[in-house]
Amino acid sequence: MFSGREVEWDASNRIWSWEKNIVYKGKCKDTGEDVAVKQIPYDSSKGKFEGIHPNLIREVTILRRLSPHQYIVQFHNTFCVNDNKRPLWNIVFEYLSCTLKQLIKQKLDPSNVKRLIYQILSGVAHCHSHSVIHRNLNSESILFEENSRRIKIAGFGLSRSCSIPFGVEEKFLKSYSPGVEAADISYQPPEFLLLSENYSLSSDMWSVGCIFAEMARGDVLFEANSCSVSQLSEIFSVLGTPTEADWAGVTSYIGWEEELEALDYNFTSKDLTLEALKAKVPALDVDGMDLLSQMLTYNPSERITAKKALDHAYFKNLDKTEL
Amino acid sequence: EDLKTEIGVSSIDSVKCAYSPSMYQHLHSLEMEVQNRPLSGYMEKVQNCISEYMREVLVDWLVEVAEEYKFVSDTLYLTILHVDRYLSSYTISKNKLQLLGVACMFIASKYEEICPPCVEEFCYITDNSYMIEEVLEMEKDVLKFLNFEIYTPTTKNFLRIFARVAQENFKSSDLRFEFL
Repeated sequence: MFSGREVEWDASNRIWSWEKNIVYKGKCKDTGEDVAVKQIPYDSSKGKFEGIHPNLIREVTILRRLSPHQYIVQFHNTFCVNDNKRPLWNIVFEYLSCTLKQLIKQKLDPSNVKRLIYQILSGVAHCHSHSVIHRNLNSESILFEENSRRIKIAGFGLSRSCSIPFGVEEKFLKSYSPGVEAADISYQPPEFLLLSENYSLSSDMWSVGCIFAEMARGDVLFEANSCSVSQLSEIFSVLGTPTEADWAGVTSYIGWEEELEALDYNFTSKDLTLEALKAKVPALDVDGMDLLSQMLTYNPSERITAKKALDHAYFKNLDKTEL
Repeated sequence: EDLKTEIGVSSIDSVKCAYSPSMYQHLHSLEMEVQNRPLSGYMEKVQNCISEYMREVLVDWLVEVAEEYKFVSDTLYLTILHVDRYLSSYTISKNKLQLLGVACMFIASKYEEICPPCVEEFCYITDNSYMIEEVLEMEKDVLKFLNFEIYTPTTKNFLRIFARVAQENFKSSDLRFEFL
């Protein structure tokens, strides 16, 4: 462990920036180890200095609970420097040079897709059993370590902890911000796009499905659109328009607009949906398609859990000793 | 052991509850860590300026504030837990006790609430007894002390689980929270 004094970084060595967060590559002075330093800007949403950013509090709290774990990015420490008399907070992580997105660009063969999605599911199952919803899983929030050939889940800035048990009377249920605006829209589950307030762990599984398809196809499954309505119609064009029978209450969400109903994507059977999905991801075998369709299930409570997905037939010929 | 399996089994929605047993185990292990718990009898052992009565007044006031701002109950429980943890390690003077309470609530609301009130509001509710800078300084102190280990299970977390297991049909469970 080290404090801020022992980390140095070069402001010109920016490795990533997202919203107002910037990540620099740095070095630990004692050990010479490379580290990633994420700077959290002030919370200026209210026009004034509001102390420590809520996202920082959540991210660090959550990382403290989740790491160390082989599929979760290693968190080292936080430190604070003075910037114009205001404290500027930094989070120090292990340094990983490659994102899953970069890896996908180099094309993955089917056996690697299988190995990596298994690792991702193990990491997600770890988060979920610690009651953490990630809320922003995408091919850039998952990093890749070249030496161990392992993925590491990162980017917990939008994560939240949820309470158990689920399904308790509505009034004791925690509600969350409807939709997570800052999250990557391509990977957002329909319940986020429809502005539901009572989503849960299963929301992450939709994003995992999108990542799974992306790895198998070599490209993003649902292209990013500028607004949630067009994003939903993009999804519906592949999976069909959900009906009340698929997902009770779907048409009463505030994000549900009439133009969505007018779309002519009413597939008559489940087979047709599978056909359309298969056309998008031709490289996946039958078991892979079955797993993918269980992740991309409209009704959040019917979506497969990460734990269950790990036992899916798709992984039966995976050598689990070489993960 | 029995309880663990029961939490999983008794759920209405087995898909959603697939993780309940492991979450319970996790919460339980967090609770067992000594550093996460307040010291029993800290009022005699650590404090010399404040009394149990003063803590009581503070907690009553925090309950009122939480109701006023319609906070989720988790925010209130976390606030009080953080106050107790801080007071288990540091002595505090009478006139700073409310500041500690406000700062802890500021942190807990940032962690739990969708729209936490701004720091100015927290000064206002103390009748402007403290300046914005004092609240922000205290926020930093408390976070450093807690080492960002904000999330500790509270009585409420466990009560939810136990009430759920005990009442299979959950029709008459409004009463339980009145006792705390």
